[in-house]
Amino acid sequence: MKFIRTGNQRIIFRNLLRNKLHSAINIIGFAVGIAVFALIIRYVDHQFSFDSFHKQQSNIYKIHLGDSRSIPPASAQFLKDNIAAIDEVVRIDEWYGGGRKGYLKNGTETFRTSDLIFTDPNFFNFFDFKLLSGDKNTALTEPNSIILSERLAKKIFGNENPIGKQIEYLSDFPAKSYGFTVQGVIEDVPSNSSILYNGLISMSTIPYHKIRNGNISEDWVNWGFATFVKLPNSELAEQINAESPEFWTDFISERWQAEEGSARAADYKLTLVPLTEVHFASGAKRSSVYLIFFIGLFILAIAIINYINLSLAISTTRIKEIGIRKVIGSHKSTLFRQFLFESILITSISAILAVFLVYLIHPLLSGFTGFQTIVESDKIIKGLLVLIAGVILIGFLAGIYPAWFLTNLAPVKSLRNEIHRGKKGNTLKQILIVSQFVVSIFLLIAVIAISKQVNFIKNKELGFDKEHIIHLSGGSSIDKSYRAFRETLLKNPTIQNVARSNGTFAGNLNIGSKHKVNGEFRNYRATTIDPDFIETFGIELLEGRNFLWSNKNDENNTALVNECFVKKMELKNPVGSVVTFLDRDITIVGVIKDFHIYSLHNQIEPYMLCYLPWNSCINIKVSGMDMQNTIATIEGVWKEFSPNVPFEYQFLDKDFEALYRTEMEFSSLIKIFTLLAVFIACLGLFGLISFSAVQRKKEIGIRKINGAKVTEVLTTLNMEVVKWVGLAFLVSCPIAWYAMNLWLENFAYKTTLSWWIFALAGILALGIALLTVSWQSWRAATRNPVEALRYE
Amino acid sequence: MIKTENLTKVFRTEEVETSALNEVNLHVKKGEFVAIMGPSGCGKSTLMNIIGLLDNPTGGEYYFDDAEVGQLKERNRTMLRKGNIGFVFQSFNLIDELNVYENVELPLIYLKLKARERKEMVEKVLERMKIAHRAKHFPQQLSGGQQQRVAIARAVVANPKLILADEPTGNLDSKNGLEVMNLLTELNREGTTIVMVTHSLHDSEFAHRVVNLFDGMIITEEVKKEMGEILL
Repeated sequence: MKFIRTGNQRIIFRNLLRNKLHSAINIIGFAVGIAVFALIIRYVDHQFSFDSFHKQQSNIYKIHLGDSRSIPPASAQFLKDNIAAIDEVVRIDEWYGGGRKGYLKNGTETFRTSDLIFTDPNFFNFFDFKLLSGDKNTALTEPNSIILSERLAKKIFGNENPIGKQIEYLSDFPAKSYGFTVQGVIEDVPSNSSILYNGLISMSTIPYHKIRNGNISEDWVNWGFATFVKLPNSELAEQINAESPEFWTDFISERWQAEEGSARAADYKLTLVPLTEVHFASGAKRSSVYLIFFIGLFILAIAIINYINLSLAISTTRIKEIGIRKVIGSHKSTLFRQFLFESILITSISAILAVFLVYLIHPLLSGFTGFQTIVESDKIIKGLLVLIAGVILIGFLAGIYPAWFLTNLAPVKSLRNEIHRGKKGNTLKQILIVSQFVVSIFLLIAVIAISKQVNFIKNKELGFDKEHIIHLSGGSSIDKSYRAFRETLLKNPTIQNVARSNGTFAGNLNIGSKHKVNGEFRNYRATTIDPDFIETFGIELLEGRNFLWSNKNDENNTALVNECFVKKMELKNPVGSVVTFLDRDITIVGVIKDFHIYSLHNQIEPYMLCYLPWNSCINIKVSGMDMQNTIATIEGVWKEFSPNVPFEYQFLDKDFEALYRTEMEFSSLIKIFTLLAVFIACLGLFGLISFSAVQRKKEIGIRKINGAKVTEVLTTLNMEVVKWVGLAFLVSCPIAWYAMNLWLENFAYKTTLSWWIFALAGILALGIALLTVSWQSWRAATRNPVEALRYE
Repeated sequence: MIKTENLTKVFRTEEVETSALNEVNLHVKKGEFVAIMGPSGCGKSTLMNIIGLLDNPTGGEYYFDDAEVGQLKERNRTMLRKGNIGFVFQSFNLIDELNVYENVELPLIYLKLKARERKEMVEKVLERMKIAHRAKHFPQQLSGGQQQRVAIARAVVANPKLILADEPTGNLDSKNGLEVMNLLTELNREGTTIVMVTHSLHDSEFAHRVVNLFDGMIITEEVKKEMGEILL
């Protein structure tokens, strides 16, 4: 059976053309809706597909101890020995989360690289990362073996075969150089991998060069190793997560004095995190993904509502057609199919347009995590099938109510054009419009609140001066001539101060250590600096003194601690107290004011600055004047002192912005989607009002004849919109208030949800709605009433 | 009350220029009841629109209560119309979404009267038009005659000086038509000036004077009765 007769198809196309404005509104609305939804689905799919390319994903678990996502290297073998079900274990030295940074040198040229990780030889058997060349069983066995990502290999060796080539590695910290042999090339890390690398180095390299004492099989001190195990089923993991096995509680109480049941034991709680969860356990927010998904749904819903409302509005002009069809014997089901076909046709046209739109919108989003690719080549067919199914479903959802409504009219009434949609139809229309505004106002509130929080974060006093600080990596290459380097720089008047630290100041300045208080270990974080640091960063010294260059004894033996440290370690007279730092005793010489070194997601923690010679990062405080020349000067000096290492610099304030990348991305995404949602809602409103202005032509004429001024008619027409927006405002405020509070809970330091956020969103929504309808209202109100009544 | 001198109205479209009124000189005295007759397209409605201050003439002068109003801006026409002129149409022109009471109240709202005053006036006029019991009904729920009574109620609620009736009985049966004509006569007796466009000879008998329009010109005027006769 043919779905629809040819004659009917003709009518459908004629209808589309006759109601050009409404067809255009529907098609544009659907096209934007489908395009955005497709992109969002792609994003959501990407977020939930993390690590799914590992065939045994469901059997792989990552081990966390307490809050720590990386653990000491000795724990791997220990756990394997004690848990019989563990088939295999693999370690990745993440170097405190950042991956090793340094330079790779191919003899002549030097390349800055990050995400170089040390890993065990069974890496390729354990995971499904693809080794493009090299022997997967032996590539990582020998010390000094390195495997490069395809991209890195190409960068360093061009089109030459890199296998067997020698490469020099200059590590940032410790500042040393190593000779490696390239043993393989690995596929670039997929965008949905939670394990990131640019290169893999064999684990046996660590003992070979005695890096960090070298004895990794006995190392219970360096918490830098991401450790994965394979288990045959999930039961064991659930069991262990529910209750720590006895061997572990015994072990931690012996090694770390973490008695069973004590608060401290929680810091060493053994947790097996399924690989499927690792992405969301390392910072990504499931709630944000869901929120974006729902926004996609909302946008689609707004387009569907437009279609329903406009179809019902237009239906009054088609009642006669329906009546005639019924009188001459058309079946209800035929008509029903006709109307449904119409909506599916519209959504199909929109889908084609949407494909183009995706290509247009996509560049706007390509900077955001998860939006890098539109569709991977192997998913195109699947994507197309989903699109086609989706289009039919959307067309069906949009068309079913109008089709039902129109086909259920009594034929005689239809012929006489006696249909007034009545209270019920009107109520439905109003509910639909109000719900569009509820969504729009909710999104506007979210946009304003999120922007307010992002601004709050950006402008919050951190307790030190992050502006105008340039930092250079690779400072260990000028370790010996550092003093001269510093003096040379300071000759330039735009350079105000120079200081060194262990890492960059935004984020990875964290050496975990602990100090024993009343027989109990308490954790704190630390970094190493030199005596110029405090002044360079404008950190306030509250008590005691700074480190002194002149006092040789200060180096290696002294520390500054923050107020939080003093409190947590219960130090009555902090200055002069001796505390434990890693494996040594260290004397506190001063107390500094609390400051933020992490993002404002975190509370300020007990923190220590030690004066140790482990500093590879050079921080330069500049005046901010004539930046270009200043940087050129620094580069010149750098080349003079370190001719072999490329000059690379970054701005500290940019690093801090990067800490909030997720939030800023989220904020921008919501902004873009809100704009689109409001746009589609306005399209619908415009169509509806243009229609209702025509419908109310007679009423407006009567009002004017009875003495209504243009402004009074405008008020009458716009009042309806004001009522809709007002009602929507009342509904969305509490929902938005709840949702935004939930979101703000992600931050330790948060802005307030001031009343004006809601007021502003309401006023914006009202303003946009009134702007949308006012042109039509104005046209209707200024029309000569005689015209409206002449042809009655 | 109404005086037009050489009133003309020309409608222009891109291609044609149609002269709807051609030097019309009409004089309507205060308290008079004038019927305008003529075939379709003779300019009756155009003349009514200009007299009713809904439209401006192209040429000539129009005096309303001795003031020249022919070239007023829409704003000022609205101001002058309010409370001074009431309209009755063939197709009633009630607002479907408003009930009887609200329809009648409409002109008073635009006159910015207080709610209490409005209530009093609306109730009085509904009483008089014998439709007070239908106050809460919507237009679709009324018969044609009742709808026209509501329309008349709305036209007179603000006590206008002039009522313009455009074929007021055109959509009614003879019984309801007669009732409407009696109402208009009664209003006229009480002093309201009435100008009525009609096709019906029968209805024109109620007027003091009949003006015959043809192709936009007054061709004959015929006095049916002296004003005094009716006033007696």
